[in-house]
Amino acid sequence: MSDASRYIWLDVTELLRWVGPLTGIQRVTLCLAVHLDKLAAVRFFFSSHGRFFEVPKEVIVPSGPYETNSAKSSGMVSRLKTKLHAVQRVALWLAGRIIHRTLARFFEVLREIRLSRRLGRFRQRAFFGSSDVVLLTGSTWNHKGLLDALAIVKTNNRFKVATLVFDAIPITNPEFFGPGLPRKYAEWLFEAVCLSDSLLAISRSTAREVAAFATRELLALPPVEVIRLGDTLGYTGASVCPDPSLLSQEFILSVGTFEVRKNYTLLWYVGRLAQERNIRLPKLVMVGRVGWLANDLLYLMSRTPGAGDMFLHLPEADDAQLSWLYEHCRFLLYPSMKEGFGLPVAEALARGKVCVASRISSVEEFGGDLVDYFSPNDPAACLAALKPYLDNAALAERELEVRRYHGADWSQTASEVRSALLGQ
Amino acid sequence: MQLQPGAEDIISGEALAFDSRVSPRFVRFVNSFRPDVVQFEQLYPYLGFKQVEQHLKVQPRLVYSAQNVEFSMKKQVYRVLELPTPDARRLLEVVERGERELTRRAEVVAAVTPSDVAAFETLGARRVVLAPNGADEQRFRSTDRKYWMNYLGRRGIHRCIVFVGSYHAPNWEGFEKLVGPHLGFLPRSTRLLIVGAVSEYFVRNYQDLERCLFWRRAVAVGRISAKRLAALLAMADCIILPLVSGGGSNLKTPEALLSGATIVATTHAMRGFEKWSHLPNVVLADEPTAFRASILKATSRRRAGDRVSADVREALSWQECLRAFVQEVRAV
Repeated sequence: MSDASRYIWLDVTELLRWVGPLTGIQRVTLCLAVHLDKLAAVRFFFSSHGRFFEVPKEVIVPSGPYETNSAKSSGMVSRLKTKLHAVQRVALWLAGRIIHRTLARFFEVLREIRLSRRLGRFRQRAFFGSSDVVLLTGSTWNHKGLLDALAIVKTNNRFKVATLVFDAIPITNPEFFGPGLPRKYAEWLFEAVCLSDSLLAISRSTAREVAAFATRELLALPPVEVIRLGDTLGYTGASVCPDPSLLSQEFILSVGTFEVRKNYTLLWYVGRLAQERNIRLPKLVMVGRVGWLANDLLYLMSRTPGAGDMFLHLPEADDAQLSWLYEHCRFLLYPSMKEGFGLPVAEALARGKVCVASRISSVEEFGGDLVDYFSPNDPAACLAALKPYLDNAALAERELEVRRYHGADWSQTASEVRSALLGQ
Repeated sequence: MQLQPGAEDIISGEALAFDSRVSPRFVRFVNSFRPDVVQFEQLYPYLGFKQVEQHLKVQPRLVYSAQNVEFSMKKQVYRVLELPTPDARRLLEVVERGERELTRRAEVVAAVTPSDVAAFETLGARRVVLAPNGADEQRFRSTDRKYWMNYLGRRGIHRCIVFVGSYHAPNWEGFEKLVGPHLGFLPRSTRLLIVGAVSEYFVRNYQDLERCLFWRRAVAVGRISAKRLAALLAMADCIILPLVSGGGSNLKTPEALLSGATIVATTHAMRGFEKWSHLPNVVLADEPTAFRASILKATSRRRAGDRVSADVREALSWQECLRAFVQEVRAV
């Protein structure tokens, strides 16, 4: 059968529903949508209440340069939502679950109104043919019933399903997540492995963990292909400084959702340790929206005397700003406890930046000896690893070595995905 | 005797003589007709009865109808319950002493398997008769069948495996050894239905992240009426009997045999029913991989509407199973 009659159906439900700056997972979906479209016959769909609707290509794939992380995309609804979320938390504290539920319902309705306004015009049902491949790349564990609905349709139409797995961290390290998610994620992975005809993993380390999970659960593991994520930002416009104070000083950059797994706590200890040892560190700039179990650390970082000189948290940086931060940082410091891949390290290496990162297997896969490693449990080791790069000559020398790095752009990722799904 | 896990039935038995609320009523009851023959369906009432007997100066002839060799079965149960050794030893002494005494005193002992017959003979029984467990074909209403059709349909279940058990340690011990908490080998539309009080064990213990995925393929049905159970067994694609310990013979085995469904069972679960092991719908498997593979095979094809032959039905009926025992008791 020729490829022309075989479609890859990419699930863009999450992309359409998302409010605010995109996180890594949605960025991957968007980049894949754009680049797969150039290589294969791709169609897009969203799911709603167990039904599947086709989304016109022009809604997903921009005609020109695109941003994966636009601050503009957050819009008024996002700002309103952020503010109301704060009210929601206070309300919970003050009046308990009744008010909380009412407000939660309010947000749900708000989201549905927004979504129906946006998607109301797409009423064409998606028909997955027997030679097609349905590709799931989003956080489908958040879309209750999607896999069940897909399984029912698959029974009749016999198309193939491929799922992109980012990691198995909620299962291997449930301590990094709020209550509820590890079980929800485990249930999703269980059904995704069961339903999928092939799996795509973003690193060998993720592939190993998925295989271990399948073995433990006695699941028949479908073929798992490791694909290399692109490390270029889709953004090609001018970069923009996100904070004027950074124009006049050097800074070390850390990128990733501000959550407990990303281990920004270590940076707080590193800052304190450097003070104690009279080592003058550039400001530590952390880019990422606030996620799981981060409030205590945010409190610490905002209340520690002198913390304003040590730390800067940028929760809403867009692609233009992120691009500027990568360009102008002294080096990237990546203290994460565990990753499926470690995209910020790849993005920094691709820009010729020195990377000092915690020793996690997925980063070692692509970073090799071009990254300086430390134990994510050891602030002193982290300080020792970054200290040489406070010296300009050492930094310049290492930057020369970093030039050996072979990055991957998203067209390569798309090509690997296409080969995995449709063959060469 | 103090209340502790594993001691409940001993306490219930001794209550006939020592509990201030139970004992006077029981003494009055026995005294009201001073029985000539007393049949004990379990060992435990005997523990209290022998005191009452002395008190009332009655000496009835005794019949012991044993479902297990209790003290050896208790040994296994206490191991599964991980009872501290001194406690287990103390309880076992009480059970063994009582069982030896009752066995020797009884004019007839009924045992459910040939191996139990041999065990009671060794304990000094005067006369032991084999009275295997049986089952009568349950008639159920069409509403019961409809209930299960809706139940399965609502959950998108196309194939169902049934596991029935009481809240009795050997039930979950065998299940955990042979099937285990990981049911990923079952297809999406297949479910394991856990029926009876044993469900409570799984609901209580299978909620942690390690074992919660069990519920992706299992449903705790809980306790249901006999008719509803009969309807379910009649619709099941597979019934599993994963016993690896426990004494006597399994009451669920004849019920499963009468259902006509494919039965995946251990050799242990077929104790007392060995002659039915050759039936085409019975698969024996004693180790986990084979047991799970047999379940999968049984659910990979739609259940044939097999009717159980009249011979099997008659041989398994209570009337037939208890015939010899009834004659012996009449002779007493």
